[in-house]
Order: sequence, then structure tokens, then C-alpha cells
Amino acid sequence: MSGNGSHLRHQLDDLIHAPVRLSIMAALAAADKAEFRFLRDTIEVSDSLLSKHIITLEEAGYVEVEKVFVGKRPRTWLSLTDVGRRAFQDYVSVLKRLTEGSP
Amino acid sequence: MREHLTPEDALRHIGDVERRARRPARTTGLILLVMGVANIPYWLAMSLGPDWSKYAAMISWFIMTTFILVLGHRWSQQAQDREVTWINRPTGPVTATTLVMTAVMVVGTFLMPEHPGAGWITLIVALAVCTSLPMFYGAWRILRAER
Repeated sequence: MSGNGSHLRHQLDDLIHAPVRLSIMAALAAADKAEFRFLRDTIEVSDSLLSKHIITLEEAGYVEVEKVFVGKRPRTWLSLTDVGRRAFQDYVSVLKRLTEGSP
Repeated sequence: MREHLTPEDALRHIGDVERRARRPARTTGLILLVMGVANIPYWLAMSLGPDWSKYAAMISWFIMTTFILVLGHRWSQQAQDREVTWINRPTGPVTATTLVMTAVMVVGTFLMPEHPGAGWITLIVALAVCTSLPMFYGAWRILRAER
């Protein structure tokens, strides 16, 4: 990668630039709102791993967690916050600039 | 997946996940498209066809509606898409226009003479196509949102 690329790389959001968290952010950016099990199956991770990364993203203010009951069944809905959506858009924009800048 | 992502890997991965996450919405868009297409022969059969075609159209409509309701309910429990939610609003323009066009179509069918002339047949065909337009619009809105 070029020197310019190395410089841009520092602008990548480390919180998003990790495989599972990137998957979560990409899925929520595309689906708007997703149920926990749908998200788990979509990105193919275990319940515990997904929960762990959701907590990290929630603490960063990127993901909103909403717990509801449908009858007696608990459901957890996940969505991106405005801050999270902006962060993901910025992240994708940096990625595109990085790939365009590659030789 | 590798722990250290290159920018190319990350972009490719985002594309893959987005395609999978949008599957329920994309399928809803395709169902709307199929409904719009199927709606035209349905109304033509109901208004201009012989008796056997009316029964066939009613049975097909019942099967299709049941399938769509079951599938729609299942997907609404998994993921929610902004465009799909907008289109499905009971008071939204797509639902309202569909209902109005259906009502116009029903009235047109009742007013039609027993042996319709070319003018009536043209009108019924035009109305059948117009009844499908809201579904085509809904399908277009969902499918164009593919990123």
C-alpha cells in the first residue's frame, strides 16, 4: 500500500474494523432493524460471541438494543443509531478511498 | 474470517453481509413484482373469462394470499426494512392506491355489459394494468434500495 494509503488507514474506525463487529454493522446498515437470531444466522456466529460484540457496539453508542415480548416470547431487536450509521458510512468511505488509492 | 482485514476484504465482506441481510426485503420486492404480474390475468379472468377461469383465478388468489401472509409474518419477525414498512402501512399510498384501484375494477366489472364491445374490453384491460401499478411501484422502491 502507498504512503497515502497508510495515512488513510489510520482513519479507519478500529471499533468497526474487526470481522464480527464489521458484519454486525454491515447487516444492520442493510436491514435497518434485525432480530437477534436473524442477525446471528446471517453473520454465522454464536449467541455468546454476538452478545459480546453487541455490548461493545452498544457502549460505543453505535447500536440500539430493544427488548420486546411477542406473546410470552422475548425478542431482541437491534438497529444502528444515527451515530452508528454515520460511523459506518465514514468507515466505508475510508475503505473506498483506500482501495481506490491502491496501485 | 481473517482477524486482520485488508480494505478489499472488508468491502467484499460488507457486500456479502448486505446481500444476506437484505434477503427478506429483496424477496418481498420480488413477491410484489409477481403479485403485480399475476394481478393482470386475475382481473381479466374474473371480468372477461369463462366461469372455469373465474374459479381457477379465485383458487390461485387464495393460495397466493395465504402463502404471502405466512411468509410476510415470518419475515416481519426477523428483520424490518424501511421501504417494506413504508409500503405495508395500511394508510400508506401503496395500500390506499391498491384498494382504490381494486374498488374501481370491481365497479367496472359490475357495470360491464354481458357481451362487452371492444371499448369495454380495452377499458377492463387498462384497469387491470392500473390495478397492478401500485405493486410494481412498491417492488421498484424495495429493489432499487439494493446497495
